[in-house]
Amino acid sequence: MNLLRLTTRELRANPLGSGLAVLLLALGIATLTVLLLFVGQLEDRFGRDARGIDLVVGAKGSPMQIILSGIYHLDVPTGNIPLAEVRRLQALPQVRRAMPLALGDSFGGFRIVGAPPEYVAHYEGRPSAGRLPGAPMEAVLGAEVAARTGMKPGDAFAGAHGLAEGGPGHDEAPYQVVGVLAPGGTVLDRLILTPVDSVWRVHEGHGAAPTAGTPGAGAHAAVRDGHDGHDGPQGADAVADVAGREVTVVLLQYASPLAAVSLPRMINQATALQAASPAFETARLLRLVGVGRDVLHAFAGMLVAGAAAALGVALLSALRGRRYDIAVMRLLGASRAKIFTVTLLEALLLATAGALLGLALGHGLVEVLGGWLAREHQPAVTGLRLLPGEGWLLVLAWAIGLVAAGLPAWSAARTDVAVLLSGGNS
Amino acid sequence: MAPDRDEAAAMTPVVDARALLQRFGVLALEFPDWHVSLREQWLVIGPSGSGKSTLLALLAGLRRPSAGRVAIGGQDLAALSGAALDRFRGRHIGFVPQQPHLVATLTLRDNVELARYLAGLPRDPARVAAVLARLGLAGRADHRPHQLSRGEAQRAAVARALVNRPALLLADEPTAHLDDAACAETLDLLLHQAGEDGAALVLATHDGRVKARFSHRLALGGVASAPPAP
Repeated sequence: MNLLRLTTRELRANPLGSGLAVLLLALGIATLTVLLLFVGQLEDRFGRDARGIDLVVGAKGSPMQIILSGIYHLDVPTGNIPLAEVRRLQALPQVRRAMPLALGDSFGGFRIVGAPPEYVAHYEGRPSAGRLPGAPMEAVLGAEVAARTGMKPGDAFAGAHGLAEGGPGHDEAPYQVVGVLAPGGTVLDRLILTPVDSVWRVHEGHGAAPTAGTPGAGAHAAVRDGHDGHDGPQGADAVADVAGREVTVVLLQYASPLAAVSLPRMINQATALQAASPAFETARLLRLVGVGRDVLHAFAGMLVAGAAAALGVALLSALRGRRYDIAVMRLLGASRAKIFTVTLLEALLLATAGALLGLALGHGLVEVLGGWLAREHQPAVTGLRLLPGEGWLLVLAWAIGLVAAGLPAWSAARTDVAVLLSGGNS
Repeated sequence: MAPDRDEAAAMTPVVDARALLQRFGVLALEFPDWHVSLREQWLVIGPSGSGKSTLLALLAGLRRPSAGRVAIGGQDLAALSGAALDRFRGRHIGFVPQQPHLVATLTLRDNVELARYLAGLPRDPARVAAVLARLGLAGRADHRPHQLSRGEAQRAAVARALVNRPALLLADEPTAHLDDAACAETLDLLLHQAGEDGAALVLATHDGRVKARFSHRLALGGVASAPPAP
């Protein structure tokens, strides 16, 4: 016999009340776990993908769209920009590095990105198999792309026009897979990377260069406007020389922090280009996401408060049914402190069960959600990851248990043994 | 108070109650000075409301008297703080309530063992088994209270009260609502088991059927009666 054994026996005697309290608490903790894992990983991912990129320059349009398409490869680009403009930007003293990206095609829903070698180096990408592309029409696959498509070095594939699945194919200009990148937890994982020249060459085959193809309207507009000509309104196809060639965006690194003051304004005011700050736009995006997160936090808070109430009621109800047991325990030598402790221990055990169940539920849900997002070619999140903040969820559950048990425990400890056991006799 | 009581301990009254008074609002119950020696078996008798249960609660340290003093085995209960008093009660006083009130979630063995655990005594499976066997409950040790007959449950309550070898065994209305046969059986059990363990027995009841079985009686009325002649 010991305190823990005694307590677990008592808990098992009231499975319905205990189970309800555990379930409610588990739902609250699961919601908080999902928020913690999902938002945490998304913020982490956004931060990693945007790290070291000070400015993104694209065609005039929404700055956030430029960031979403140029850095995170989530949205459609705003259009194309002349390569000559990129060269001019690269020559500016405020610019330390400029990485032009050419978008427009995809394979199996994964974007084919024409990028210089330093783009892969920027994200510290390294091949886990094969090598990096060294010539046009060679491609290296992100880890997720390789895993989902099953392609490996030596395989060939033809891109499809547009950024979504189902676009018309460029069968006449297949890519050769020369490598697969190791998973890095960055945007590279879900991209197909090739030299910028490849993208131009694919479209030169059609007598054109890439459009900033949209997954829907843009790509279809390109087709509608004559895929062979690629002269749709989303950006006329570039020609084969620098003067006429286009890219989709250029990722810039400032030469000095002072550039942040002058360069964006200069680009936005003095050129036909649009400059967008990843830090600013990402913060704006997360603020927008944050509203939803706050609503979910409030919802989780209500669940947790409900769980605390259910726990308190379950304990009170269980103790009412056990008042003679408590009286007998006091009679046999249990101090008020011990009775108080037994009740608190019951609450802590229930809270621990609720927290563990909630954490498991939350992780499971995020893993399922992550699988769905991966199938949709969105940034992956995983439930198979423990965050340090989750320890606080356990602490929160214990705090709820202690608060909920306060009144029942005090009430149990104050049991009048003499009155109860005498059955009203004097 | 050691379980193996030596001669000095034998000289000390198990119960020494002096000028006890318990107030309930404007009402007060006054009890006579009273001594119970080792192995004595006392009947506290009186009508409902005469203070029998209150007296037992005072002796068990479940109530603090409004006035007066109770010493058990020489230990002044007023000198013990809450937790110490609880532990003292668990170790030295056995209590058989009117209803057995066994803990429903525990087996019979665990119910008896619980008395040792809560009194802060080390586990003693042999003692638990011996007490259960003495009360004819060896075969029921792994049963739960709802699987026991009323008589078995009553014997289990006695086993639980005796397992710590108390110096004083208190029983509050143990024969209430029992038929004559069951009443006689319960009395036999208490008198015999208390005697076998060398404990003093104080049984409080308003049941006239048990009078003849006790040579020492304390009769309580609305006001406490005088102590009986030795």
